Amino acid sequence: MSDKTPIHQAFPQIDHDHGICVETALARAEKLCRERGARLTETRRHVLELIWRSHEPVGAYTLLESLSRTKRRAAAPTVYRALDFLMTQGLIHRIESLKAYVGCDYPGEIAHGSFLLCTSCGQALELMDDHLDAAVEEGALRVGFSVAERTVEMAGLCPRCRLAGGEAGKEMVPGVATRAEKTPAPSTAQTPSRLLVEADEVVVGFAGNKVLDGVSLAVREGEIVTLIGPNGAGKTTLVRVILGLQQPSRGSVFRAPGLRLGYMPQRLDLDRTLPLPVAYFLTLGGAASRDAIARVLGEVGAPQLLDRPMAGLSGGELRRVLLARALLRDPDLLVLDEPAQGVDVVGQADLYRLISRVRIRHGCGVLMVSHDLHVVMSATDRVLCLNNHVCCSGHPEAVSRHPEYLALFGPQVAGDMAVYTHHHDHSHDMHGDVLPPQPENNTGDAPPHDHG
Amino acid sequence: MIMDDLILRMALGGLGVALVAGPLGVFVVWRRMAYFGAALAHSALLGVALGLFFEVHMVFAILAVALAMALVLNALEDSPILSTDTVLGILAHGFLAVGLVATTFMGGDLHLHLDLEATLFGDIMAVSQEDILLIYGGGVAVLGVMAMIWRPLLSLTVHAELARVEGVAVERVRLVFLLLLAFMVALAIKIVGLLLLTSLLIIPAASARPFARTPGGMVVLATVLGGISVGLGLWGSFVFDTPSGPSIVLAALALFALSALAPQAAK
Repeated sequence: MSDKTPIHQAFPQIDHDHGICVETALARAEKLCRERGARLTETRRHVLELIWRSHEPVGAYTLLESLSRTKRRAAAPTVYRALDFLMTQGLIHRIESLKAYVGCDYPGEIAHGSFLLCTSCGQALELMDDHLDAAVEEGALRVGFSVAERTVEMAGLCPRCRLAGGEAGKEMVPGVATRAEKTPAPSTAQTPSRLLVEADEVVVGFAGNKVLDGVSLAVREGEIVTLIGPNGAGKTTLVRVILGLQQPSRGSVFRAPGLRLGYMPQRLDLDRTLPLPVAYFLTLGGAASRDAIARVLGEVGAPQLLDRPMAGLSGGELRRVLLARALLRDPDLLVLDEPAQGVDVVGQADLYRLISRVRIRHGCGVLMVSHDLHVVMSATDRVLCLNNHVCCSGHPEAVSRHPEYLALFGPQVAGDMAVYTHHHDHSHDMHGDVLPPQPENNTGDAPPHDHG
Repeated sequence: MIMDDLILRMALGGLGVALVAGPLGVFVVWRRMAYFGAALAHSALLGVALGLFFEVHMVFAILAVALAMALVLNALEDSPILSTDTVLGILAHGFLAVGLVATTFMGGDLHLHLDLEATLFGDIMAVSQEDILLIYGGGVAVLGVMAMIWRPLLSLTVHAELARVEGVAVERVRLVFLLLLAFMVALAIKIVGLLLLTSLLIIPAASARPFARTPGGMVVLATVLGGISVGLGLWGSFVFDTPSGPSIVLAALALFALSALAPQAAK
């Protein structure tokens, strides 16, 4: 491979031999630094390797976290300095909208990059197009703007996600072909997808003390439904009823025949006396080869955890491992109870992105419980606001403006919502939907600011 | 020659029990069931009394009562009113009292046959060839079933609801494990006695914990430590002329103390 050929020529397959890419990238970086007399220290090299190992742009926080797990533990300023160095050397790019870094496919081209970002699987592909570069430069020049760093971001769907998401019947990308056989590709709007579970007028508890009072809910294939509501609203109870862990006092629950469930519980109280490596934990849900386990851990972004003991995992790591166990069962429906509990804000956003990616990749339905609508909003198709009964349900934006929702969560959250609504518009734009103007939300608002 | 034969029987009996106690013991520890084991063991006295009365082999009589106890415990485990440890306390001491009283109601000469001390603390000297056969036959059966339910049992130990969603028959597996514990009690009562039986289950498992990286590793280690405890204890009871059951437990305790100190020493 010559120095001018990009390391990734097309959107990388999940299962392509990424090891070669990583090696090539590191070899080129070393050569480049040698030529320039720049010092690629161990830490810098390691940070670069971590960025390259990831299949998608990776945040500084995630880098710090993975570094803290190795012997090469580094303080935050060191990592940021390493990132700065790698950027100045043109070895990595920063994707501003994701606040994340990605390995440069054309190492050495400083401050120079156009990226196609897949909004559903999160992967990025670098484009090298002189015309584009020239056009950007000209445009900037015309308004007297001096360009210091030229990173162009284009959001959309990569070929694989486009196929998995919409055009049913066409040939599938190899990596998803097996899934396609199992579940006919999630269909388009005209044919409703398969009904996975449905709760009908479910009542739990007795008169005067009803945890659930006539709650109905349906989840279809390929759909993400989120349950929100205050503590004690009966969210977990509804999930337990749907999973068959608890019988409703009245009402019925339908589960599609042969439905495979993947469940991610809210908590895992492991007895400290039980020595349990992650790989072993992942076999408990059903026989799984070490390869399959390693692959699924890679998919949830935690390949390094394979041989770690369960007892030593952080909150975010535990959530990823639990998700991996659910995914190993090749589920039709994923049920996630508070998937981001015990995870900090940055990690939460990561997790929800991961979940929406999983949905595309596996074509499964997702039912999740959350108590913060604003975080899950972009990752969900439908929201059910629960307070023992169904307060309101529907599209996340509609729910966020519903009077019952506002009454339940108070004006503080409602205020946050306005900003996030704006954010959400954006993500819908990427899918190509036409957006109605929303003056009532956008007029009084502060200019867009960082909520990450 | 007679002495050699006795030593061999004692060693075989003790090791047989240690072999069964290892795999069961680690689950008793992981599932926080130490009191469960104790409650089952306490029911053994009633078994001994009934065995004498109906002239049934002791092991079978103990097994019958322990199985009954296991079923009652299983039924009461999810009691909405009483906490599990209360239920266990009631049943354990209730059964013990019933057993003690039952022995005095039996005919005078039968009463004489009951060696209370042997039942409470074990009498490995009295282990017969028949006992050895029972221990190994029963032990192999228990270990076989244990191997069959290994994964579902481990899965529900880690998270019962997750296991159930994944298709594990949680109640059934839990019950099978309780019944295996009842078997273990019946097989081991002669070696360590009912008061010390739980210690043979939990002490080697606890000693194994700091050194185990996997569940299977902990089982192997616990079993080996149990075997060493039996060997050391028997040796000690010969040398110092001490009762065999407590000597075995004392040896296990010494190993536990070493294991508890080891990680600190390594630091």
